[in-house]
Amino acid sequence: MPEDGPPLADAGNVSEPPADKDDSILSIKDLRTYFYTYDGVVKALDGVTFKIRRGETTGLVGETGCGKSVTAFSVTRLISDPPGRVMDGKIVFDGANLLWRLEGEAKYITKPNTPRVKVRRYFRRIKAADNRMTAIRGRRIAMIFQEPSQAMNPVFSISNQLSEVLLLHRGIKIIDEMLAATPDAPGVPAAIDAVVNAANRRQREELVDAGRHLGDVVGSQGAGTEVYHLARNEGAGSDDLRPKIEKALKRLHLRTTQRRYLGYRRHLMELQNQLYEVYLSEMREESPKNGERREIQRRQLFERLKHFYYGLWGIRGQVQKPLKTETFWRSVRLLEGVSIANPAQVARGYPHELSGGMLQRVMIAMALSSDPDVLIADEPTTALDVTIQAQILELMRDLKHRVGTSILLITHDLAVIAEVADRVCVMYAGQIVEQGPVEDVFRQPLHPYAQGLLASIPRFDQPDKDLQSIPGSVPNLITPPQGCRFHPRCPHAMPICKVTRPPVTVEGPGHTVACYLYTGPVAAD
Amino acid sequence: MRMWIFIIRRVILLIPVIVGVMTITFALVSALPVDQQLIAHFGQPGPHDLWLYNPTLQPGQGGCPPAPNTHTCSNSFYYNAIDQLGLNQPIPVQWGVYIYHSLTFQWGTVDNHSTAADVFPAIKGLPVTTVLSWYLPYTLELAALSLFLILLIAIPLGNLSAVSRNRPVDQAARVLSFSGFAMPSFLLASLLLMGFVIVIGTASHPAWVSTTPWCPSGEITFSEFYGSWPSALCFGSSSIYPTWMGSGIHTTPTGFPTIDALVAGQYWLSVDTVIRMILPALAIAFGTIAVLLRFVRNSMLEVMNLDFVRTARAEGIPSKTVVSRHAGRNSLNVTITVLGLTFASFIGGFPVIEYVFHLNGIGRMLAYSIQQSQGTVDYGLIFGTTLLFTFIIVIANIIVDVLYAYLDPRVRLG
Amino acid sequence: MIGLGIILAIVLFAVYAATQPTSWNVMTQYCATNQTNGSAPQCSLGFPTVCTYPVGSPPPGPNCYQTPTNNPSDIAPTWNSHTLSGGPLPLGALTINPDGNYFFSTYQGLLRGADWSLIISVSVVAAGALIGLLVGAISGFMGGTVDESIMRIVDIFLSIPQILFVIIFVVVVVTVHPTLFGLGAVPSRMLILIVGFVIIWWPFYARVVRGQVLVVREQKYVEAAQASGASRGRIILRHIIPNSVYPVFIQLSLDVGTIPLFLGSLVYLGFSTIFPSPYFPEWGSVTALAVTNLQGFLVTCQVAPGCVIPWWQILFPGLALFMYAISVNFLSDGLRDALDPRLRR
Repeated sequence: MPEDGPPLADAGNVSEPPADKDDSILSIKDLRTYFYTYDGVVKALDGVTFKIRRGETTGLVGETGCGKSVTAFSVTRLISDPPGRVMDGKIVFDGANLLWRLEGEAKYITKPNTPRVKVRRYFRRIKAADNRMTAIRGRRIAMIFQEPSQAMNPVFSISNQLSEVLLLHRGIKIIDEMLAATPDAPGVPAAIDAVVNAANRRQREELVDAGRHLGDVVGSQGAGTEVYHLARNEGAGSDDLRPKIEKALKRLHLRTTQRRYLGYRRHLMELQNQLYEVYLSEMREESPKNGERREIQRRQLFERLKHFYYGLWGIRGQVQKPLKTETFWRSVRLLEGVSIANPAQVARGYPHELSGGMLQRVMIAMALSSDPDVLIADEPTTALDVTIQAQILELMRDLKHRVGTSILLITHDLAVIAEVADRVCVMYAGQIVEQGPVEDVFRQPLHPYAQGLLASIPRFDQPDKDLQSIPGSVPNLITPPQGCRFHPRCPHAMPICKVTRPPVTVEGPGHTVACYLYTGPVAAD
Repeated sequence: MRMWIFIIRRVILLIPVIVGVMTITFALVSALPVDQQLIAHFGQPGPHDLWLYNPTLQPGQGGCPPAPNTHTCSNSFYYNAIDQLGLNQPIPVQWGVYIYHSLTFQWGTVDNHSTAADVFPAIKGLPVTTVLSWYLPYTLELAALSLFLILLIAIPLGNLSAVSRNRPVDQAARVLSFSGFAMPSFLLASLLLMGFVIVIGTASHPAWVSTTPWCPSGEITFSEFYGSWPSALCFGSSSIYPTWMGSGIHTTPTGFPTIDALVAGQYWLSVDTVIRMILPALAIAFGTIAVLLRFVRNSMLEVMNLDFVRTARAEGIPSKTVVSRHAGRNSLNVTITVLGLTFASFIGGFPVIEYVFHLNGIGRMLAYSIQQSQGTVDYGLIFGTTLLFTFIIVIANIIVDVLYAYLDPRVRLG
Repeated sequence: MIGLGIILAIVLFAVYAATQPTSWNVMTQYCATNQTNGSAPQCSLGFPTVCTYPVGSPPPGPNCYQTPTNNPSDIAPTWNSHTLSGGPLPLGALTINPDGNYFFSTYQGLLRGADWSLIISVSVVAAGALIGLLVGAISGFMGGTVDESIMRIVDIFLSIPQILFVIIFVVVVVTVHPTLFGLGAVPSRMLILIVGFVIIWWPFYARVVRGQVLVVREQKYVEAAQASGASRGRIILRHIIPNSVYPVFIQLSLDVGTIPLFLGSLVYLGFSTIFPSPYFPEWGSVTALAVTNLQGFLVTCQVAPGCVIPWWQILFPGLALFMYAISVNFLSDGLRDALDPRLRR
């Protein structure tokens, strides 16, 4: 299991062993993100370097405004441009370079006297990079955000938004299942009997199993969920239940137009996936295939034109109905997965009708619908109260075990990190000052900033102790301090701290720090 | 279910607004001299019957019977009329009578000596409601077409200029929007018409006419092209609207020109009517497009910065879908609201445009009813048109509210 | 840059026009000298028409010409002052009375019209904004029944098209009271016009201000001010008013450009009672007259091919009106950026 995997680097080695490289799913090196404002260039990220290993939870802590969220958004290219732009660095995700063809491009644009034509070309490249990122965002790297009530679209129902994401990432699988569904398979009557019996006997677990079983027999997850919810709503001893179930299963008999429509949708999705594969192979620098990409895009356009016929008003509703029902019940099932009590009702509702904790569950369900490799959680619990916080964290941990997702957990709450994370990176003013396994960092923080941060936590077991705080405040990132950025606030500041940036040194297994107080071997990365 | 309650509540809230508008018009009408009020309500008598409305005339004047009628000329018509309008009653009663008349569509009679009656002799002495009911359908069709054009142009252009912010497209849209604010509608319409005349001046050549499918016979001159009803040159006596304007007989089944043409089986006639509407509809739409364009752009920019758009992008939804579906749907609410707010000024543009293009809608009726060049001002028509325009605006506002509630689930609760 | 140039040009012209004697002054002076012999009938009307007087009598003012030709509107822009008694016509001439063969200089019309346009639009907007600000603020602060009833009244006014309300108001009031408060024909007519506009104009401002006040009232900084013990008056003056008026400023500056367009539309519709005289020097009115005149030409030109369309008649007044409105728009856009601290980056 990932969380008890031993740290791979040992103190003696100057460079980290190659095994560690293979293990990392996302590695960020020397990332620089600048914001161009009227007051000047805000160097929000200035050389951030860290790695996230497979199946591991990495925490990112620091004060407000130190660039935690900017890191997350830089990785997924969600920084709004203007004013922000990823200037330099390397982000390698699963072998793919997310900043492919962008190294240095951004620099030229902001340089004065760059020829207009060149600037336009660079803009095009940045835009193309945004398009490429759709191959990664959501399906490989998912995100959940701080303010769940703001992060959901207020005008669409929950099921609508979940279905959209489901179709986007799981569309082919869903359509295949729908096309292969067998509503008159030999086991169906028996399965229906089982559901009805379970409903009559008010056996909740049995009902769940029976519903699932029926779904398996007919080959449709959505139908299984629907039947289960039907049975639950009908209550015991209802005569209507059986006809209702049969009616629900009827939608699995697809008409010819519906089949053809599904076929088109599937075809389009396949083309889209091919395009994403091309993007990924480009980013892995396995021979960029411009021609192939254009060919796929051309075919896509053609397909869309053909597909337009099915989008015509009037026939649209009839043709799309089975797909809509299926995705609706699948999204209900997703909501069940994040332990929402009345998922069908929630799915029909709108974001403003739900509480923050519920919405955060929905967000998690949405983010995990595609089984992503990395989940970036940007302060997921900050806006929630403590009990809900605990539930959400529990949920995330549970999902990590089930799906095997790596998590980048951004928070300023050190307790959350201690609870959930395996490794922790401490950030200060756009730089990582210390990183290492949670136990090591928390037990023995090395960097003065990390020490100050940990000392400022109120301790339950030492009520008499005065709370400590770090003097001063986060520096203005337009004109950051020379040398170590922490030196104006540092109790141990030395003359050299004011001149050059301290090197990153290895101080323990997987534990690195950037401070002149420590003289371990310099880390390779 | 909630939606129905919402609609019913809106309709109930509408009643005080309509009564309020009627109160304002009542305040103005009742300020008029009594004889003018009588003219507005009962129409102008002939030159020899002026005494009907004016009891102060001395015997021998204005058709008043001469002596031996020694006292002031008075007659039962005048006093009956005064009674009927409640003009001898206290103000609240007059108000009640006025509201009753307005709500029951007794909006008075067209003045025989007004400019409007001079221009359209067929409407002389007819009830204002009847006259307006002839002219309303064309205005409604024109409004529908220009609303369609507004939505067709403003929303995509606004989205485009928001997406390509500060790029050439955006700058062009900004210039368009500013000129829409600054362009007087009568000037724009006249320029469009002038351009059209220059085009058709060369295009009315027989060679062009023979290739014009919707006008099989004869050439079209610009003065014939415009005018809401197809000219006899185009459709000859087979046209379904040749004569009602002149004879005062309303012969069409619905009054809506395009629908009537379809009912009568004249496909080209219907197309012709729509073609004639395009230029005026553009002229009307221009100002509203300008307003809407700015609002759509700004609200789009605002929405694009909201968290849920970032979420949608983070979920891997392609940026085109994010713009059109997620952001577009949210900024549509703003669009609808602004459309509702500007609807009054949009409707206010109709008189000018219909007057420029010689379109027989209620706006043109209003334009003639306020002129004094060939007769008097027509109070009945002016106040009737005002009430009608107000009704249209109020109903449009309800539709906007309902649409808004439909589009934004957060509103439906209230 | 171009926009700046346009604004500069308009401002310069406005300054120049303001230094010129107004049509009011010109005509007062003229009437003072000519009234005795009764040769100026328009003086008895109490107001300067730009140019209407009987055939044969001397032209009543510096901006009025008697035509030497059969088709006066064919006079293109000219600097030649010899063919005409009244001086050069830098922007051409505008026929005002084709039968009587009189016309006036477009340049003079625009020059004399600048002040009237500004007076009307600024006074309408200022009075409307003042009322709207007061009513909107009261409505927003008081809330409850007061707010509800004020907003219903606002709704009523907002559902009447402005142009229609001005028409019915002016028609009725002019019929009932040709003069007001013992004023002359001109001032009272102008007052009626302005009052008509103000009555239909204030509800917009009231609505904007009320909406803004409602938003501002709920802001955290107002709560913070309350919590820190600021008095009610201080909160209103220091926090709510400054934060609610700026959208009104923008709307207001936009409307200064809109009102001449409305006036032009009314004149164009043939609503002759709106101004004290039929050919009143006001930009919208001059433009509308030019456009009306042009339509007659279009018909003539279709009948007689080869006739010259008098482009100058529509171009110069139209351009003046358009530029005036668009520069006001640019100014308000700049004003928004300057006033709103949130946009000042």
